[in-house]
Amino acid sequence: MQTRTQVAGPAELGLQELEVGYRKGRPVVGGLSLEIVPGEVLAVVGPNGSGKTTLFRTLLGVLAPLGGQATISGASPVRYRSGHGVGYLAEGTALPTGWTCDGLLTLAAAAAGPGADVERACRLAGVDYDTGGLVDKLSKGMRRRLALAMALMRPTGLLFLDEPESGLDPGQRIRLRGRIEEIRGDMTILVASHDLGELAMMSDRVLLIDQGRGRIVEQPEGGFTREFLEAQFLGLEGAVS
Amino acid sequence: MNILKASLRNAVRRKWKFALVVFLFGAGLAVLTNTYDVAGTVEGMAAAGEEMRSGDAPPSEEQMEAMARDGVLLFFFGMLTLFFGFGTILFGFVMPGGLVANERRSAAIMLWAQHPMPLSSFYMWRYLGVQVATLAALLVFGLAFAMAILPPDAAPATEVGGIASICLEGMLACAVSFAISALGFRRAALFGVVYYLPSGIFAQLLQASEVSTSTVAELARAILPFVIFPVNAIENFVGGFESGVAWDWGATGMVLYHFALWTGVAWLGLRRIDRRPLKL
Repeated sequence: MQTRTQVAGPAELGLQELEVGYRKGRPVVGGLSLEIVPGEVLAVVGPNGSGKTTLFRTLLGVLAPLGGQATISGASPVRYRSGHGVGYLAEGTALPTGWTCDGLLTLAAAAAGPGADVERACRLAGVDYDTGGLVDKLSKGMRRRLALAMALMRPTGLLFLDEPESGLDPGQRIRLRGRIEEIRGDMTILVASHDLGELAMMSDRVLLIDQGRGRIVEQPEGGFTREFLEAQFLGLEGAVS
Repeated sequence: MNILKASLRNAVRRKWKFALVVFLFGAGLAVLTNTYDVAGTVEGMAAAGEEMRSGDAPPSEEQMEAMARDGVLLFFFGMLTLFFGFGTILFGFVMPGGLVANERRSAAIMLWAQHPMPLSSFYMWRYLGVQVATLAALLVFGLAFAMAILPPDAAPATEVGGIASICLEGMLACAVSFAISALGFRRAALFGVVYYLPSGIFAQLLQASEVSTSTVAELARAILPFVIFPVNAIENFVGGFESGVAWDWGATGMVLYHFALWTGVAWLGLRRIDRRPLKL
């Protein structure tokens, strides 16, 4: 089986005047310029439909930028993904039906190539249930954890989490935060979420997106708090209107 | 190899009930043909029909009863043959289950696209797993078929051609269905059947037009075999397994061409998905 894997350190992202969207001339988010340093946890916050998932898809290399450019450790997103692989937990992950959890984990491990570690991935993602059963019978939270395990299948330099807390019970949310603490520094993490309390506890910086523009919010003295992020969020034009 | 094994196991788990139903039709056919003299019954019915048409004497009550009994028997035989024959080919079409198109549309494809292995290789391994499971089931169907058409004391080797025909048609159906799915069509099995059914009619027309020298007939004979499902080519190819029949290299080439064609179509579809995994 041919794979082109190289285990990468934490990725460095450079966005220069990046425009993302689905139709030429109608960017969802435009003029985005920022540097994301290796090992950083960047929270992406914005109202529904503001372009968080679209930005992730562009940085994953599955959607071409409409303008500007994005580089990941000096390579294009497509080249980085096909060379090193990334971790991606999509919003509302659809798992193929009719498969056992073990079967899907086997496929993901094979696709991840050398360095894949099913046990580590399951531990990090909190897959602590019997994986011999069908995924069709799993609850939403259990599916989410399985998808996260598939995203963490091999050590990678870049992890995208799109609403990771969706479907998780409070206990699992707390554990998820603990696991992110465990892996932070080993990889650069971009996390989009509406749970400002969780984001306040795990993020180094916050990218606020609204009305097609992005703005970086640096940590205040004493770190982020839920109240601070709520104030920032309510200050967004779109959120206020 | 892990992908192949996992896909094979999954295919068996998902489709064993379908395979069992088809096998039961085949087993029913085998029981029927080994219990009753079906060929003799057909001949007897034909003779009785001929006698009735001649109008010399009205059939007796016993003859009428026997004809009704034979009619029911032949009805069952016809139904079992139809369900078993169509079941084996339908099984091939449904085995891949639109796997590429479904996962692309539902975004489940990102579960694999995030990893370094190219999607084209990943799905080709999964296809191989499905194809191996299909072949295993088709071999079992083939054995049921051989038991159905052979006299009880005949050597099984004499029906290798029949088994090979079932396997080749089913495997090619699987290849067609997978290729259609790789092109992005979710109802790949349905499209496959829609392609297969007219192909059978065209194949019969081609055989019937062998004596015709018209330009249209010649053109059809030159082009259609490369386009339609190769029912005739498979028939000619497996004919080579019978003793005393010369090996048909043309049919061999045509069968190989169709496998290569659909594998190539699948590969092209997958290369496109490598570049754009998500359907946006």
